[in-house]
Amino acid sequence: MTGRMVLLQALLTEHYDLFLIPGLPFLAALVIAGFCLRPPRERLAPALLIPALTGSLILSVRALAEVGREGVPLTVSYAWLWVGSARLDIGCLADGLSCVMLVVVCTVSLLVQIYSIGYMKGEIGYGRYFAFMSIFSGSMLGLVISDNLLQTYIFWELVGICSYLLIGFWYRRPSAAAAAKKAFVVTRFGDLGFMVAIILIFSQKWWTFNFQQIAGMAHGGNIAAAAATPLALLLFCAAVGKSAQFPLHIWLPDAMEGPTPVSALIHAATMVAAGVYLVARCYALFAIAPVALFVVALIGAITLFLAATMGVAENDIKRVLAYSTISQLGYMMMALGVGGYVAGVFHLTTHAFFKALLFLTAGSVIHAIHTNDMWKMGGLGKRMPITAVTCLLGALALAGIFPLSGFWSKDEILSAAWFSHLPGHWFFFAAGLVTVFLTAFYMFRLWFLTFAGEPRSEEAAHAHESPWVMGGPLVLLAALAVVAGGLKCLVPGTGHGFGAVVGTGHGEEAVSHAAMALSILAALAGIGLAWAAYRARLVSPAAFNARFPAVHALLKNAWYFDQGWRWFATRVVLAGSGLAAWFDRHVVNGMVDGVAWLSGWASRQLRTAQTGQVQFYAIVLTAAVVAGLLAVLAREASLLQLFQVRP
Amino acid sequence: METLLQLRCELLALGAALLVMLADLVQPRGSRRWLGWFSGLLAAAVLAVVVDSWTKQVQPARLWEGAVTLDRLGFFFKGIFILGVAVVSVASTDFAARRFRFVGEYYGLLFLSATGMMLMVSAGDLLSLYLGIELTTLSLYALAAYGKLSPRSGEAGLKYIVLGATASAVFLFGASLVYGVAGTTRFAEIGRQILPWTALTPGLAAGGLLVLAALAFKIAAAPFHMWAPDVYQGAPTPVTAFLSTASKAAGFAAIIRILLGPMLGAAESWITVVIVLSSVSMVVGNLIAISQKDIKRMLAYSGIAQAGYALAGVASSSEMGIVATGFFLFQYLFTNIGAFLVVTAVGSSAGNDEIASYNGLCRRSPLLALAMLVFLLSLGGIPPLAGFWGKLYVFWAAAERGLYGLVFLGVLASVLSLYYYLMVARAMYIEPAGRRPGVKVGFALALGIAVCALVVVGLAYPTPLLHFASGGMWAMSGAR
Repeated sequence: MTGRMVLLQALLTEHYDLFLIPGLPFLAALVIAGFCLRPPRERLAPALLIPALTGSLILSVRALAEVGREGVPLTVSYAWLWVGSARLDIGCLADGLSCVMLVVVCTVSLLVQIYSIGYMKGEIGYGRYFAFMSIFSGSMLGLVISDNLLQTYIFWELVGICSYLLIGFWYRRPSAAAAAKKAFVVTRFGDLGFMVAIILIFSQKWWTFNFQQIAGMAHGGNIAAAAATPLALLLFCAAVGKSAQFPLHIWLPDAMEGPTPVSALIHAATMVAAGVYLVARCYALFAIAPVALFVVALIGAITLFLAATMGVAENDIKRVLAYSTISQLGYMMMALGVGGYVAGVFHLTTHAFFKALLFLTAGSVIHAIHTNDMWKMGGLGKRMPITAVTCLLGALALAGIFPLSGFWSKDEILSAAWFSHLPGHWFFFAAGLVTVFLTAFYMFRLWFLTFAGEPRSEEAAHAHESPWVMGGPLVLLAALAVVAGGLKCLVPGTGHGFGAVVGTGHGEEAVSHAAMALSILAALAGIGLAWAAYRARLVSPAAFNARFPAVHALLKNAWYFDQGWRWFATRVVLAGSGLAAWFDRHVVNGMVDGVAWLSGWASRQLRTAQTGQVQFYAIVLTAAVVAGLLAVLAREASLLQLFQVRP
Repeated sequence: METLLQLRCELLALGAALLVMLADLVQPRGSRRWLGWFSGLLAAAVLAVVVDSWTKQVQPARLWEGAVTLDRLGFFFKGIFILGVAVVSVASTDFAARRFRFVGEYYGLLFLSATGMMLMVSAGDLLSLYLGIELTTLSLYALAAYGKLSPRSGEAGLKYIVLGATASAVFLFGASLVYGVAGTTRFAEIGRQILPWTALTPGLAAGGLLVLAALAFKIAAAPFHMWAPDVYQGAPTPVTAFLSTASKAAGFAAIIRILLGPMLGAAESWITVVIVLSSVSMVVGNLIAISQKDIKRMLAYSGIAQAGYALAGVASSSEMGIVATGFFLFQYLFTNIGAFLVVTAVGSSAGNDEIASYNGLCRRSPLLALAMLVFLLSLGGIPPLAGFWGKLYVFWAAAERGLYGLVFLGVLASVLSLYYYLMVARAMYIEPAGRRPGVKVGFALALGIAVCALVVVGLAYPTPLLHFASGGMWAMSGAR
């Protein structure tokens, strides 16, 4: 077949429109970067990004409906290049998992961008903000829709750099610059695992990075557990960095230095979920590596508990939410680890809605009174009713109260831990249950301190509700946070429940009513304690802190992880790098300088041969020919054979 | 008639040469700028025929008892030559109108040499190959000396013709040795007398070596490179652009036709020679380039080194090596022509080709500097530009053949080369501009530079080109 026909056929039959889903935001980014960076035209930036995202959303919903109805993934793939026997592709894979994720990313991103119009109004660098946001949206959608590991890795790094740029958006503030650097370095630490995993696949000569083909090999028993385990662990390493899991969780709370819509979109709803998504995407590999699954569950369980305890003692409203995000990501990881594939992905979906909502309400409060400290808030419920009510709905969803979305997804996770075949699954269940209590407690501590009671500062007393361009997205997200649980039974447009749409081939997951009851009780207990401590003042947190100073200090300092890492960085890493620097300065540099000097010297010597005399050139030419002839003929016995004809 | 139709690409190129010269006569005086666009148009028409022939030629064919062979590889190379003519003739519209007295013949000679190159790549016989070489080089001698107003151009032409004639003599001597031993000049029949896995007879070995030496002269591989810097520097810059790319590609096409055609069975015998040529070219070219002050000479030495890289693809003596070399030469055409076109622009403005004339170019003419940066980085092999893929594929092919030493040397040499490429980038971006004025670039020249830069950047998606270079073996698309 000729190239032209192949191209024509591709245009007619393949789903090339999938490329537009990440393509539209990238296009918007290009136009914004080209024309709308400076003040007079920068107001146009959101007018470019929002239609682009709407287009991506429509395409994603269409893809989801088609995939849900037909049950067959949509794919399109082109050879990007060939290296040896390996064909590296550039392509899209739209199956249930990626379509759900695409719709979530597009929806949250769209609402956050609308909210940003109000929140970022009058900031210096308004156009730059929307340019970065466009690149981020495009990269995130590209990450989700990639059909192979290498392409995923490219977009993985792109979202990482966008996160860096947006955390450091107010780069004149030293703390923001430091936080951006920290986020970048810590996540890169994990990304190293991703890169090694890709090299490992290449060295094992599978000759493919395609997810479907790798899954096919795994299901077909063509991958040994001994090969799958290190691979799965390396990929999980990347996920630990990106999804802020123990022990690399330290970057996420600091990332709150960025503008709040950035925290809502990138550091709560989408990018940090990329780690979970990666594990889900490569679940076929994890499924044949039980050791890796256990590690995933264990890290998830440790993370969800530790982060929740850190959230209890935090006073910065955004940092509480950051710890909560870490903890919820831990839930998702644990779910995947104990075999609850659908539960993990479902929680990822519902969490995206209610956590984006919570961040945006926090942003609304910060926008009104210009502080992050909850002890300077209070009594905002009367002054900012929409924010207060939507935040309450978000908090209830996060706490897992029936019938809000968080209840359904968290319950599925607990059930999955309950029924798991993993050794020690009771421990995972217990960790999950205790954390339900902690979650409800810190969330309602936040709500009571912020919205209930009397104002504790001048600004809080004179706060006003945010404009509708910010309120509208809050209401819509709150609606989603309330009803998203219904997706469990029916994903609109597909005619199937959530499990059937995303979980092809991973089996039905049972639900335990006992777990359900226990989790509701735990959540109610948490809310009750928060009410008692921060609203009714029946219990005194100060007295508790005075009684157990060690516990308070431990929680207040987030279990001293930052200090631990700092010690590691300054003592171990710096000592090692000092050694390396000495080696570099004296040995490597010496060699490089030597080579450079030698090259320069050789160059000056050799160029003297270029005399410009044509006779000399002809001599060199002839001499080279003669030398070649002599060399060739010297291999033969004698020159006399020169004209001997082969018989 | 049928047979002549099969040679339509060569005939059309020849016709284009005559047509341009006739068209020049139509207008006795006045501006001849339109001639450049006209010959660009003619080249585009020939290119369309070449692409069409590539599509139709699924199986190789032989004409005149094998004196001419037609296959997809040949049409790929013909596409390279005619693209070179198209870009150079459009881009040199202003240059030619200003500097040359006889404009029509300039374009005519470009087409004539392209005709010769097409014959070279179609050759199935030592004699038809020689015919092609002579047609090519005679046109090029004239082109090198075309800037009659400058004594340097005349010097370049003279040196080129004296040394070129020497190389031709070497070729003919080698061809006569081969004929004396094998009793034929047909590639196919020579190939039949070479038994796989046995050493060549000394006569064939000596004859083959002489032919190879003559072709190594054409591609300016060391130690047959000494003409290149003087000729490149002296010739009018657009001519140098054409000479350093299309003519080099034609030489490689002939080398591939011989070594990977009839001589493939004796690969064990010639592979050492090619490795030596390749490594000496990489080392000598890159080393001497470091100490050059004139950008045209620097690019000449860089071209010697680039010939060394492409020879690594030939040394792999495999199907993949052929594809890799073809790909390399295609990207080199656009990268190097682009670089020389920038040199044309800057040289016309500054009046000399010193690297110092590029100081602060990024502030004087930012787009021109950016284009030059793209070409330099591509020459240096920085991903994802075209030059990176070119180098990757030739070295990959060599590594698959087990030539790790050559690959290692090549990578080291590439690192070395970055030094002198980036020296120009440094001049453009870091050095102060001083009192140098901005560079004015005419529309045609700007178009040529832009097209080259777009191709160099666009080859970050190399698969369509690989599809053409491999004769359709490596498909572009296809559902899994």
